[in-house]
Amino acid sequence: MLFNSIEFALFLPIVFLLYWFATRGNFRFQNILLLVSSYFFYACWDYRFLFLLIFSTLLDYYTGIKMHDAKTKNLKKFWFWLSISINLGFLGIFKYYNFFAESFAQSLSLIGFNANFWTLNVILPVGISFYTFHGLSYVIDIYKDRIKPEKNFIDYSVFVSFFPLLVAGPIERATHLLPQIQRKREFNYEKAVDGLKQILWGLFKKIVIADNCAQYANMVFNNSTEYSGSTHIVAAIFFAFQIYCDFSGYSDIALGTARLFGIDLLRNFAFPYFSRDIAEFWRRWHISLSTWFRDYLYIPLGGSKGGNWMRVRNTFIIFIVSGFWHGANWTFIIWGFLNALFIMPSILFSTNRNNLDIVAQGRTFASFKEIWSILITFSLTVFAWIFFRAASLENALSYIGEIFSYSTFSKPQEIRNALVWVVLIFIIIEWLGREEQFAIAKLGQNWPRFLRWIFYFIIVITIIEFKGTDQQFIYFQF
Amino acid sequence: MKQFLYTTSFFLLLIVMIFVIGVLLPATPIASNSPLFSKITKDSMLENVKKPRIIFVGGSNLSLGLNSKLIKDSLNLNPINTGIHASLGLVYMMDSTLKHIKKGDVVVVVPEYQQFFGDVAYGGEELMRTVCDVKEINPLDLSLKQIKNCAVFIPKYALSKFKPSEYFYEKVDNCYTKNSFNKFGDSYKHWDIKSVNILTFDAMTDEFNEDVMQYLVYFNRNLQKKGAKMFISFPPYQEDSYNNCVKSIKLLESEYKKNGFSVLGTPEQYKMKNELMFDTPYHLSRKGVTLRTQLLIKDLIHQGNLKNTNE
Repeated sequence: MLFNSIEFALFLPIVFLLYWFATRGNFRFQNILLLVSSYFFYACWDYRFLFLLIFSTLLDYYTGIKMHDAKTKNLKKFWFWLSISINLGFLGIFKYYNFFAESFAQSLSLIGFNANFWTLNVILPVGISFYTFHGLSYVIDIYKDRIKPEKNFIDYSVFVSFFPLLVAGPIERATHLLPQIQRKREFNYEKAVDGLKQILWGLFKKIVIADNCAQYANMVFNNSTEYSGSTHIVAAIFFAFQIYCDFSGYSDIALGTARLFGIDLLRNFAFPYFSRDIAEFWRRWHISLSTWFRDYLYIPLGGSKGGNWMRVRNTFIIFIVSGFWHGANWTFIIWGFLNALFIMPSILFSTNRNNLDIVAQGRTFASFKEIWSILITFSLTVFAWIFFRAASLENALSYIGEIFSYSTFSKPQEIRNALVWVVLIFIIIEWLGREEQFAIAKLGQNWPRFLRWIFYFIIVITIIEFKGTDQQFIYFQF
Repeated sequence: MKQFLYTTSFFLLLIVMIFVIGVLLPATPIASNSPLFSKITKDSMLENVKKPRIIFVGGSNLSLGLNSKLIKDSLNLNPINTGIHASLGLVYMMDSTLKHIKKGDVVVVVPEYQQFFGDVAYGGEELMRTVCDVKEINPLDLSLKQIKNCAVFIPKYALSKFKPSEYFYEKVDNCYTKNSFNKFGDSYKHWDIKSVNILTFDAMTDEFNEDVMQYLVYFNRNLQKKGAKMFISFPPYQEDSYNNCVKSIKLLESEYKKNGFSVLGTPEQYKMKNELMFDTPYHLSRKGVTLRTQLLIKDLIHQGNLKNTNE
């Protein structure tokens, strides 16, 4: 059930009405309803993997309690490693086994051995990377005595499976989400309206920008040799907008939907393309994953405490692991490596925390220096996205080769002017709303209601008018 | 809460009202000129063309890919090309043909490969427009799956009624109008238009739809009951697209055989070079149309045991 499908358009109001009316405000009933709805939502993808989700939930719930109750350190350690190894084992089997088997076979063939490993022909369970990371953070936090285990299985299951975040995040923390699940939720008009606005903006990003940019990007990336260098550049830029609007659009819909139920999820994006350096970009892009890696990998590895070498090593580790998290392909690993490389100067010169504020805060226009920094950062990001999008390393390299050919000085091919205009308008709206949680959060707040409604109505019409070929949300595959 | 429900309901109601008005308005001048309106003529051909008849059922691979005159001259059968657009869906194409079938008819079904994957066979925007604009279909005759597929396009369709360009700025290629068909139902106006850059279709990612195959079995059974004979043929398909989709195409070919259909030729035969295509991986230029028709005639003679009147 996609967020931009008719099924979801029916599912959401039904669950919303049952949640606020049929449960009579009893949060225990509300939690049961949320859990049943979430399992139904997940089963619509593939009911077989529901058992895997339930097993993973049971495992972390049980080991969490066992760790807490363990009388000895060793026993605690046993339960901890049992949970970690089973969780990572599932992820490894479903997501990485084929990659390792094939890569190993290829390496052996380089030294003259012909190995043919058994590969798995299974579909990747949707959202497995997200709910596994949910569970991992919960188990690690209990092991480190940061939190106490949740005794109520329903509450814990809602924390793992809450449908807005189940298949593509944001990756929640027990410390943030569980307390909200454990207490009574009151309906809040402002919050609900805000949620609807965020859903509308998320749909706009996904359907108008991402899906239409995807058509152009797919056309060029899939038939790379047929297009000029300049067309390659435009397609790479369109892919940058595609992936941003696809994923942040999804996150907006997830956050907006959760707000309708009185629940606040972690923010996942904060206008990353307005970043002035790569470090700032990574503080604004997929925030829930970046902070997860910071808290559960970078800091345990020693963080930045051990001098320059330690910082460099740990930075490369988390970026490469982050790349690998996105998929079992060398393209993702190179993408992670490139980002580590881009961030390196600011790590070495300790300028990575220079841009903690919002660009041009309190001003309408940015300075030339800021614009220049934004453009440089954006170009580096787009360059790295080429590896992320390409089907293989060879494809990525030949794609880059085309960019550095003479045909880059020709006019880009087959550009839809309407799409360029819509993307430009989108950038302006995002710029105007960059100090808020999402671009249209406060836009038109002081306008008369009919003007505001006209604005929302225009967004609805643009969504309908620009509805391109439905594209799967990119991050579902991770 | 009440305020929230009232406000959101009122906002949604306004949008729904605009959609309803849009749907109820008559077809715009641009839409009224669309090839979908050829459905009226094609239905009347199915009713009135005399025996012996050969009826082609499929999407635009037929409308923009067949020269029925060559078939008539070679096989001495009266051809009816019912092909209009793949997005009418194979299920609707079969349903709307079945009621016109007469004893002794030869029916050649040529579905685009995508019809058997996902829910393409249940139609899309063109089916919805045929319901709303052409009014050749009673919406109640459609299945729930068809209605669901159509419903997605209603908002866009409704809004199109409010666009000035739909009334004043006619900019439709000559080959895509209701008047671009000859007396057999072939779209021929594009035969003398220069081919355009053709995009390639990617591999099919949707799963094989067994229900559609079973519907074809059911269609075949009904044809036999009416004393007609059915053949399956493969659509002409641009080489690169073919290579991308070869796995799905092979699967479909084996499914045809498994279900015991009389299959004409092989998919490879109908793989077409780029220079034979017109504007999509299924639409042929004049040269392509001639080649495809000749291949089909050969298959009908050798495998379908139809008589060649030119010998």
